[in-house]
Formats: sequence, C-alpha cells, structure tokens
Amino acid sequence: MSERDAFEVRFGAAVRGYVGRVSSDLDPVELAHRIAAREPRRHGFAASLTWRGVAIPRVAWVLLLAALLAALAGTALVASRLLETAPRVPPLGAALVPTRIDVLTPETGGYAGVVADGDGILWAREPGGRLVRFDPASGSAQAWTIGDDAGFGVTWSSGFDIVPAREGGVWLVGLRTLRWFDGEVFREVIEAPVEIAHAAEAPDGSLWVATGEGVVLHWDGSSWSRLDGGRPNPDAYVSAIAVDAAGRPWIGGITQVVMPPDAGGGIAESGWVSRHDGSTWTTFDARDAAPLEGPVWSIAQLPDGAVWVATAGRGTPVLGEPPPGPVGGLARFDGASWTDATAQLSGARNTTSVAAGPDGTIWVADGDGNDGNDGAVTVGRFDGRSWTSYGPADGLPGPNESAYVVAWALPTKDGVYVGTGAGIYRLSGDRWERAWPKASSPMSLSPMNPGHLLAVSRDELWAAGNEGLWHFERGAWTSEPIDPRHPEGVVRALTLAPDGTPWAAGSDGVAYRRDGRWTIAGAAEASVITVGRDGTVWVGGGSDDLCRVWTLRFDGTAWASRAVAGCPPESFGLSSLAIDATGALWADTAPGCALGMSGCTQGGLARLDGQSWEAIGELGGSTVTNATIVGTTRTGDMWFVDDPTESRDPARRKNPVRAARFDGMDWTVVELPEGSMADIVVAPDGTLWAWAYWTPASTGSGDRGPARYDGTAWTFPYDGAGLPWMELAAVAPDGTVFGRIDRIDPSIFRFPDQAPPP
Amino acid sequence: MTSLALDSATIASTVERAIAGDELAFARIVGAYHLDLVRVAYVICGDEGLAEDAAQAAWWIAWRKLRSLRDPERLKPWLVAVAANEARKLVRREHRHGIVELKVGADPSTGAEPAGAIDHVDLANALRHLKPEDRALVALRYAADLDSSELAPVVGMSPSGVRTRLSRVLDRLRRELGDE
Repeated sequence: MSERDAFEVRFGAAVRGYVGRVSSDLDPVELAHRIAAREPRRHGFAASLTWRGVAIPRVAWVLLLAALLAALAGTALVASRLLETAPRVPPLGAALVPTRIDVLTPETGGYAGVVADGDGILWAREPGGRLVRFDPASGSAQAWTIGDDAGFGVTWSSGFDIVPAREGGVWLVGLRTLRWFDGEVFREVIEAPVEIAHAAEAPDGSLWVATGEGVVLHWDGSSWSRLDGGRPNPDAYVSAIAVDAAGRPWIGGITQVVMPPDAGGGIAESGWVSRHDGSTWTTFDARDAAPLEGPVWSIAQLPDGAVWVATAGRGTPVLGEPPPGPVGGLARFDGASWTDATAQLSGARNTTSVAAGPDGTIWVADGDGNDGNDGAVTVGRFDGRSWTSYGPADGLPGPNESAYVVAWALPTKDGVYVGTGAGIYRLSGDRWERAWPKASSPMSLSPMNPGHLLAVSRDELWAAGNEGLWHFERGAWTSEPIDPRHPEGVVRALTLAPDGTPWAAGSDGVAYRRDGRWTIAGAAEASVITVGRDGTVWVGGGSDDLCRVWTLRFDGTAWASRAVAGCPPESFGLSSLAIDATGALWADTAPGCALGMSGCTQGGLARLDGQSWEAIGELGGSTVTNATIVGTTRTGDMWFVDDPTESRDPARRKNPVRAARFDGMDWTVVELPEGSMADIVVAPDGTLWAWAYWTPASTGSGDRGPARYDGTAWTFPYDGAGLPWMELAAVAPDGTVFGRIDRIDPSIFRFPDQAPPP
Repeated sequence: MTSLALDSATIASTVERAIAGDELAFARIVGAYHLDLVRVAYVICGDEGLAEDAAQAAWWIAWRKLRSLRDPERLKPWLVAVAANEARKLVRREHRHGIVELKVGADPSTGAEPAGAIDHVDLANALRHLKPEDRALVALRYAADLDSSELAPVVGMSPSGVRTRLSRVLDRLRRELGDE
C-alpha cells in the first residue's frame, strides 16, 4: 500500500469518527407529517405536472386543461379571484419617520440593483443599506438609509428589489410590502398577503407581484387578486416578472432539477418564461428557444408586443465543472414564435439584463461573472438590424472592477446608462464614462465582514474579521492591522481594558493600542482575551493548544507571559474569557473531540478558582445547557446567556432563552422575550439588549426589533417600526448600542443614544 | 436518533407508498436516512445546527421529488446528494467563525487511538479550508460511504472524473494535515 493509499484509509476512518459522534433528535414522524400536511400529494393528472423529468408533461397539461375547460363549459372563465382578506393600506403620502439609526458601513458606489424611473431618474440600491437617487440632468445624487425611515430597511430583506414607477420614483419591494418612494415621501405603502419575490408596474399603473414559488397577484389600486391558473412551473423559482403591452403578466425563472441518479444525477438549472393569457399560463422553455436553457434574469416588453428574455449561467451541478459552451443568451418572442438572438451578439452571451429604449433600440448588459469569468462588463446595442458591442476597452468596468456580476442596461430619454457593481456609467458618443459616484470608493464592504465589534465610544468602533482589522473614527473607516507587515492578519477577539485601552488577539499575537498605534505585547497566537482591573491581561486559545490560558503582565520593561495550569474542564477550545466582580477568571468553552484526548468534551462554563478550574453546571439554580458569557458591567456584574436550542426556527425552539447575572455572590435569572436569540449585549450600566426576531402569533406579526431590559421589565422601543432583523453586537462604555447584519453584505448600525422616535 | 435500516424490497415498497402520499412510509425513509444526511451535511457545514437545517431542507425536496426516483436502490445516494447541496447552499449563506464550529455529540471513544490517526481538530480545520464543493465530495465519499460509481451519477461526473477530483482533494488534504 502506498503512503497515499494509507493516508486515504486513515482519512476515511477519521471522517467516519468525526461524523460518527453527530446525533439528531429529530422525530421522523413529526417531520414527515409537517411536510406532508404542508404539501399534500396530488393525484390523477395533476400529480404528473410537478416534475420536469416526467416524460409527457405537456400532454398531461393538455388533458388537464381540456378537462377543466369541459367542466367549465357554459360558464365564463374568471381571470382572477379577489382575496378574501383585504390588506391594510396605510394612508397615502406617508411622511418619512426618522429612526435616528445610523448606518456606519461605508458608501461604496457598488450597486446591487439600478433602475430608471419614468422621469429618467436613476435609482440604485447599495447592498450596505442605501437607496441612491441619481439625477442625470444635474449629475447629483442623494441617498436614504434606515436612519431616514425604517421603510428603507427593506434593503436587507431577502426579497428586496427596486422597481421603477412610471410616474416617477421607485417601488421598494420588501418581503410583504411595496413602498412607492418619490424622493420625498412614501406616496403609497401596500401590504401584500404573500411574500414577494419580484414586482412590476403595468402600463396602466397597476402592480403585479410574484412569489418565489410562482404565485402571481395583481394590485388594482385598492385590492389584491390572485391569478387563477395555478403556478405555471411548480418546481421552479421565479427570478423576473414583467407586463407586456397588452397588460399580460410574464414571469420567468429558474428550474433547479435534482436529477435522479438513474437519469444522470447532479443538480442542473434551466430557464423558463410563462405568460398568463387571462385564465391559464403558457410556458416556454429551452424547447421553444435555446437561450432558455439558462436561468432567466430579465424580461423586456416592447410597445409593439415583442418580448425579449435575457438568460445567463446555464447549469450549476452540485459538484464538478459547469458544462462547456455558451452559458446563456438572448431570446426574442414576436407574439407567435421565438428567435435565438444570441448568435448575433459578440461577447455578450451571459446576459443579465435586457431593456428597450424609447426609440425601440434593444440594450443588453452582461456581468460575465459566472463560473470563473472575470466579471468585466459588456453592453450590446441592437438597432433592429445589427448589434454593436461595448466592453472595458470602451470605458466599461474591466475584469474584477465590478463588485457584482450583474449589470443593468438603462436606456432613458436622456441617454443610455448601465448600472454596475462599480457605479453608474453613461454612454457619451462611443465611450462609456462613470456618471456616479464621481470618485472611486476608498474601500469595499466585503473584505470588512466584521465578525467582532469593539465599541470604544459613540464615535469610535473597531471591526475585526477574517480579512483584517478596521477602525471607525471621525465618521470614516480605515484599515489598521495590529502588525502592518500583515495587513490581512486575522483578529479573533477584541476587548476594552478597564482603563479604556483597546486590546486585540489573533494570528499576529496580542496587541494593545495607545497613542494611535498598535504595540504587540505577546507574539503567541491567541483567540480570546480579557483584561482585569489590576492590568493583568488574560489570553487564551491559539492554533495549537486551543484551550490553554496564559497571562501577560508588564514588569516595567517588557511583557512577561505566564501559563495558567491546565485547560478548563470539558473544554475543547475557548470561546471567551471574562473577569467577575471578585477578580476571578471565567471561561466559556467549546465542545469537541480529538483523537489525542480520552474522549469528547461537552464545553461549558468554568471559573478559575485560584490555580484550578471549576466547572459551572448551573446558572442561578438551573442546569446549564448551552451557556455563553455576555459581558461584564461597570460594577463587575457578569452576565451569561443560556440558549437551549440554538435555532432561529420558531418551530424548533422549545425552551426560552435565559440570561443570568452573577454579582460575585448571588445569581439573578431573567427570561428573554419570546423570539429572542442568544446574541444579546449588556451595557456598562447593566441594561440588557436583545433582539426579538419574531413575534408570538397572539400579539401580531412582524419583527419586534430590539428589546431593552432595565432591571425590571423588557420594553420594545421600536415595536412596529418594521426594522430589518439584525444582531446586536456591541455596547460602548457610553451606552451606545451597535448592531450588525452580515447577510449578503455586512452592515453596521449605531442606535440613538436616547429614546427612539415617536 | 437511531437509524432504522431498510432492506431492498422494503425500500422499493416504502418509496412507492411515500410517492403515493403515505406520510408514515415517508417517515420510515426519514428515520432510515436522516442521520446519514445530517452527517454528510456536517462535513460540509462543520456545524451541527446547520447540518440539521440542511438535512431537514433536503427532506422537503425529497418529498417533492421522490417520484422522480426510478430506481429505489439508488435512494441513499440521491438523498445524501440533495442534503450535500442544501448544506453547500447554507455554508455560502451563513457566516461562521472560530473554533466553536466544531460541535459533536457524546459517544466518546475511550480506546487507544492508532498511530498516525488524524486529529479531529486538524480534520475540521482542513475541511474548512476546502471549497464547499470539495467538502461535499469528501462527505459523500467518506461520510456516506459512496464509491466512485455511486458518486458519479449524483455529482454529474464520470467515475474516473470523480476519482481524479478526489485524488486532487486528498493531495491537498495530505498537505493540510502534514502527512507529506
């Protein structure tokens, strides 16, 4: 047996041992019932309509439709039905209500969506939380954030999209709301009875929305109605919606096919579009137009009735390489038949948007970032006879310059623009020039990705992650690694010493910051840190011995390191350290297994009593299940939180999350509000902050937002404001609370220092 | 939870009943394979909670797509591939840090470990350095125990392609784990 073969044997054994210790307490009967009750099986013809792999789906469709038509013979077909529950419609012209929550993430100018409204104004959304209005005529821009109104918080909701309004302004598409913002007020706010994935405004000003699953609803200005005809493609996800010149909705999307092993296996994606003809859907796929082999990104409707569809990124196998050949394209439907326009394009086969200009010219944009391509932006122009292509050589963002692979073609009455992850570009003669932002962004968001926040004051913050250390001061962020020779050194823990000195621990050792620079006090890699009132620095973790703890003391000339005997009991690694009111060290440890150990450890809490560790099995009289240290107050009270379930799924949460305070002598236990998770923070004055992620059904719906505990009761200062859910991540010594969202792109928020808005 | 094995004949009839809408039959399939799905997902996620989420998401897909499985003998490879894909998507969506990712349940091995055995900490770290796609391949090969001919259809590659890809991954893991 070769060394390599021997390694494979050992490796296989290690993987089996590694996963062999994983268990599950799932109740199969309960899960099966939950799934079957939610998605009951259909029988007869309908049962064969759900799966793309079925041999004769179209025949089944035809037979079913024929049966339906026969059953309905003599009666008028109804295009849609009014929903039984009328949605609440807030009054028109709702003025903005400032939340006074600041968005601290820097403005990048890298847009994740750009549209042109009916007045030719361009609207862009930044993933970091800003809605930007760019006026081409004046060349100026204005931005709004969650601080201007919680309504702008839809930026972070999973279904967020922006849709141009014909009368000017833009629709902000939240998960269940549509807000028409005209640049001053929300002219209309509409609640939808479904979770919206995409929306479009019809020529008559009415609205159409589609859920991700393909349920389509129409808003006529006063009520919602749901389209009959079912979902056009039940196994697919909707990625675009448009309304044609005749007022008919089109939706397009992606079918993710989990191929059975005996049919080739793997996961593949393909595209489709469906048109609703008043009572039923007509679906087109790759059998009708080859470009529909790729997932649909964009649908454009022309006044003459033609429809253009842009697709990109064909095939995403679960493993392995993407299929060779073109990855998308452009298809045109003239009302009767489809044409593959892909071949006429040069270099723009990964089309992410298609749009028609006022003069009928077709514009397509291509982010070209799929499957390892470099993300250069290209644009194609079709004047009815031939295509003209533009690329980086014509001034568009070059390889790796655009933060997003999607580009949006925006022909307006005042000129042609393209929105990109590097800004908005305008075609001037034969050259593209960046119209906004005027200057390059000083930094991008993604590398910041702050896993750890340390708040020094309301105006000073540190953010650390796997890509370095960042400093926010005087309204700006700068990269400030603890070792300038390693700008991307990983900082795994940050703490503020009682004297106000920031300390950091990470791959470059342990360092403190004084007089505007970092000084390394110990070179050994560390992952947890705390500083006692006597100035002793307690450090732990690292890359080799994950649970070891040591101290650093300054002897007048140098920092001396001294090991603390042994690991905390049941510790595999250290998650955090803290000092309580008596000066004792506490450790919050992680569970794990290693072959060198006699068995697995369960992790938990431990306290260093002099020279030995004591496991803490109870918090205030209750058994610890999954406790972590929250922090200490100014008076030395230490707060813990115990989350028995560790799941954001309400259905899987059986026990409440508890917080416990230890003042050096006694324990106080506080139950967190329903819907809270364990990511809570404590202010120096002892105020607790949690985030209520969902609301009990009995008290309404929606996110209740931050919850504040003042020692007697929980209050919800933003209840009903509709803030996007976030994690409360840090509290400054002055009491300022900071939040964080790390979904898609990281964002950091600063809450007002006093009471919330009315 | 303990997995309840199903023999070939039972699998075929159970799948058939589940396709017809028998939720107890579907529960039997869940009971038989859920742990396999969680373990495969765990190799990819490195987190028990995420692995459980991925496995449960896979069951929703399985319920919808089960009728596409024409050969019930291939049920397990198909199910674990779906779970691997869900785990891969979750990994891309979630943002996890630090050593707390390694969470395993109780079932301590108290015997002496063989010389040259791979430390689970090192293993977890090495896995984290792989692309999710490669982690999925490792999971399906070594946690679900699928051979290259079983892997090939579920990952959309040829058996030789699977072996080549695995070989590259193992070479990288050897370097990561200091075995060279």
